[in-house]
Amino acid sequence: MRLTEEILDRVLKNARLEITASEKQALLKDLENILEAFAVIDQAKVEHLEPAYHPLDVKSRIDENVRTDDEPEIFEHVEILRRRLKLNSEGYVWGPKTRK
Amino acid sequence: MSLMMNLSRLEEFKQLILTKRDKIKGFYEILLEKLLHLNERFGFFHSWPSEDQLENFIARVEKSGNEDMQYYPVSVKDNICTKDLETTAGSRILDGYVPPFDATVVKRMKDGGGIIIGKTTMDEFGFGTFSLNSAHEIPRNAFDSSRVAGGSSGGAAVLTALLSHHIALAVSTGGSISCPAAFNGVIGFTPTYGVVSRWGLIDYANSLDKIGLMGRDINDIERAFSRMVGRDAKDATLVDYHLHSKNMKKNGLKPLKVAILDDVIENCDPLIVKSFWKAMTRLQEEQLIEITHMSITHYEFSVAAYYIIATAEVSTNLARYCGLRYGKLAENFEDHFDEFFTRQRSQFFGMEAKRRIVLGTFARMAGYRDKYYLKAMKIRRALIEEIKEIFRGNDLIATPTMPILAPKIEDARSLSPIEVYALDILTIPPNLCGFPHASFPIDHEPSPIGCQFIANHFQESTLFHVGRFWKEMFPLKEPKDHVNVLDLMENEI
Repeated sequence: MRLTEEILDRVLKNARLEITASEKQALLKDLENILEAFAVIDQAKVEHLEPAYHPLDVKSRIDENVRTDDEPEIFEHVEILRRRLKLNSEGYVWGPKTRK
Repeated sequence: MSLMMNLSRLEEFKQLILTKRDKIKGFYEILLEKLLHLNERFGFFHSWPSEDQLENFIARVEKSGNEDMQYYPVSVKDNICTKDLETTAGSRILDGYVPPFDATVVKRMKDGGGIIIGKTTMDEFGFGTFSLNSAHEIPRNAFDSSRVAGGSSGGAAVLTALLSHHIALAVSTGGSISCPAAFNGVIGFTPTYGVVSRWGLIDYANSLDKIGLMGRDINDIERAFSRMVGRDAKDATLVDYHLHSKNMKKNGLKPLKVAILDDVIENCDPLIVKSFWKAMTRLQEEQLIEITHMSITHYEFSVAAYYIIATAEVSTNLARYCGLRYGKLAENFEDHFDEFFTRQRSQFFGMEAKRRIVLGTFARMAGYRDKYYLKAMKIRRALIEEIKEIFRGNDLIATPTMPILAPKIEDARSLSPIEVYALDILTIPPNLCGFPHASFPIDHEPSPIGCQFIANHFQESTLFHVGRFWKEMFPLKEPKDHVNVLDLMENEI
């Protein structure tokens, strides 16, 4: 599977990243080598298996750890967050434009 | 040399420091001064507590009267949130981020009486095998500062080698505890995935990240681990270690059955192979282990499967770093959000971070997801089943920890990304499948060499058992710049 410059541009846009032209050529070469090495997985005969999204098949995880008698905790660091963020006079967070 | 040979390091430290209660602050001031001097050469700390913060840590222990880890030095890898101490995960994008809270594991260490002495250096977000991808200080090997420390928990391993009495909190995703532990001749312990709360850990890959420990004494590690495990309502992915481990078979005094993967070992550096077999033969002669020879069919796919899963997860986890909430906050909001986020992220992520984000985004894209991401998940399933089958007839699997000796820094820098990824071949399988594992040092010449033992899920007790007899047969060596904490306490305060 070849990663073309066109696909890379699409991926970079998706990931909200930009790189220089020389970085792009180097990255293309690196990714080509990586994907070539990763092509070994085509030989694995695993179609009959379920994907392991998690290393442990522990069905009762929620019951073991999070219970209905847990006391909810109030987040106490609101003031610290306010101090870190850029707020306008009405307390709204400044951010970039949403319209071009 | 220990004053009290049969005590754990933690116990001998406690016995001495409790006779010098009025001098604890003075001790820590002198200790930090020595460490910061060494830090200029070895680069193991990124940040450390101020005098006031140290005083508060000590006062907290005095007030609680907790006897467990009383006043014991604890370091924390820089991707674990530590209240009021800058936490950057080795990245410029988190420069200036000072968490307002402690990660659960940090809180448990503090509640147990531990004193946080610093945040240890690492590869950016855990992306690396040598700690060379750090945006800040590069840690250097404790035995030879021209060599790499290993990664990504390089700073933790270097400090553990240099400091006689101390516990390091570290993190492993694909081998980031075992690798630097092996390269620096110390013990590195990674528990079963999901038994230690990840609340407060800056994510790399959620289905792979595990907080573990490094130390010079297996009893210290076992003690600290017992503090770390347990319920935490803040981490809903946690499993109850005590519930599952009590159902597992216990070790008697019989020799442990150890499966050795010959086809994996034969590709290692000859010095490492020789050292590994020397250790296995010796253990066999002492009737501590019985060896069986096995192979795992799906091992050859593990590196690819790991990197596909890890980069897919990290490409979504790092989406949160956009210049609005953490660390580097933007000043200029003139741009449209696409340009704004792109500029922030591109300016402050390192090249390896960008490479992994791109790889992961690609692996998840429509049209490629089944071929890469789903296939990798199925390979993980196959590996888990194969390894569990080995554990039906064996207690442990043993391999060398790393296939090479710690390279010189300039040689490591010349490796291509895929060459670096391939070096994780021995540590990736247990990490991918969530099995607990530990690296114990065998030899220290010409450079430290580690032996890795892998146990079944929830069988951490088997690893502690190995650590106890390993301690007697392969004692740890001290690098030239080693700081003996007990001597410091006796002679300098």
